[in-house]
Amino acid sequence: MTAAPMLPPARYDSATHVDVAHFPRRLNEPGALYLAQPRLPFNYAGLWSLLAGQNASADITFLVTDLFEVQGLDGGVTGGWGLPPRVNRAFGIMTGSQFAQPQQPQLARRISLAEACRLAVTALLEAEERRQAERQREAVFWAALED
Amino acid sequence: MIYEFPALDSPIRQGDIFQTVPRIDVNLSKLPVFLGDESLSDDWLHVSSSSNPVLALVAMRPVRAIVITQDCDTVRVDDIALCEIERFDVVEPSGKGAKYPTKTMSVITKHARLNLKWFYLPPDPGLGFNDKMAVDFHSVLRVSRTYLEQNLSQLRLARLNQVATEHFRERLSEYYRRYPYDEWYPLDKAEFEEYRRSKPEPIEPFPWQR
Repeated sequence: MTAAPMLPPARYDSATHVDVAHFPRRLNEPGALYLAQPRLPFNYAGLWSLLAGQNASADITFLVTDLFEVQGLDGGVTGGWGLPPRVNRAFGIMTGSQFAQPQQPQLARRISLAEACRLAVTALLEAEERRQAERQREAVFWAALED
Repeated sequence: MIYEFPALDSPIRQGDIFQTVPRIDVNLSKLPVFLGDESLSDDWLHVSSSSNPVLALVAMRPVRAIVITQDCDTVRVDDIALCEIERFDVVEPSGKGAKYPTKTMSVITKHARLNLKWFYLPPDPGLGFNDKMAVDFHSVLRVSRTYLEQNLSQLRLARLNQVATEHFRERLSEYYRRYPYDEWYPLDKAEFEEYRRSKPEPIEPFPWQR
């Protein structure tokens, strides 16, 4: 199989996803494109740690052939699992939902120390608001279930 | 109630409750970073493309939290994982305004069976819990084990007693054992249509439901 640079996905899957191009990089590891070499066709790339954290189930078994390698240009190889269609179909991972649209990063902007402080505090407050809004949505969901 | 107060030299265990645990939230698309003498608002993907560590300004809020790292690991790992503790009516808004035991009992027991994302902690003024509280499994924090150990007298409030610990570890494992699935797969056509109408998001039928 010819290795080709993996492009960011046009859309993200709902349950969990790992965008191979956005793997967290280790310190001192040069920022680089990764090459994904799937052993099987896959449309969903998940690291086991992520699955274990959020979606692990004893009912899902992974074959050795599900393994793919992610190779950095520096030659380092990271292993991962591509969920083959058999798993996706069984668990509906590919069902439609709200997807984050890839956005172009904003250009760096010079700011004052005061604005840096404001940005930091704003980030914290906005995160708390988002968290609470999510809890409210959850509450509505569970209340509906109770009815 | 369900808490006990361990000796100062007692090692950190799962179910230990800490105060003043730092929670950090960042906006990765507008990260205040420092490059040399300059301060910039930059995107994480852009600023992290160099091989150097990124120097950034972040806001930290001290919160209460409970240890989720299991006991074997709490004595040796570099970082301890904790889940944030908040007021119960904040974590579970359906508990807001529930004053009478009939309602609170229902929320605490029934909802706890249905909704696996929190763990109830009853009030106890002995550790500063003047209200009903809850562990929010969604909010996971990470703190240096060494720092916690060096400051146990100031940071550790209490720990869950044996019964509560057994329930806590079960609920914690249940939370992580969950996985997503399409629960409508066995519905017949009529049931599926009802299900689809009840959900705001688009739902596709399985082939046998068309």
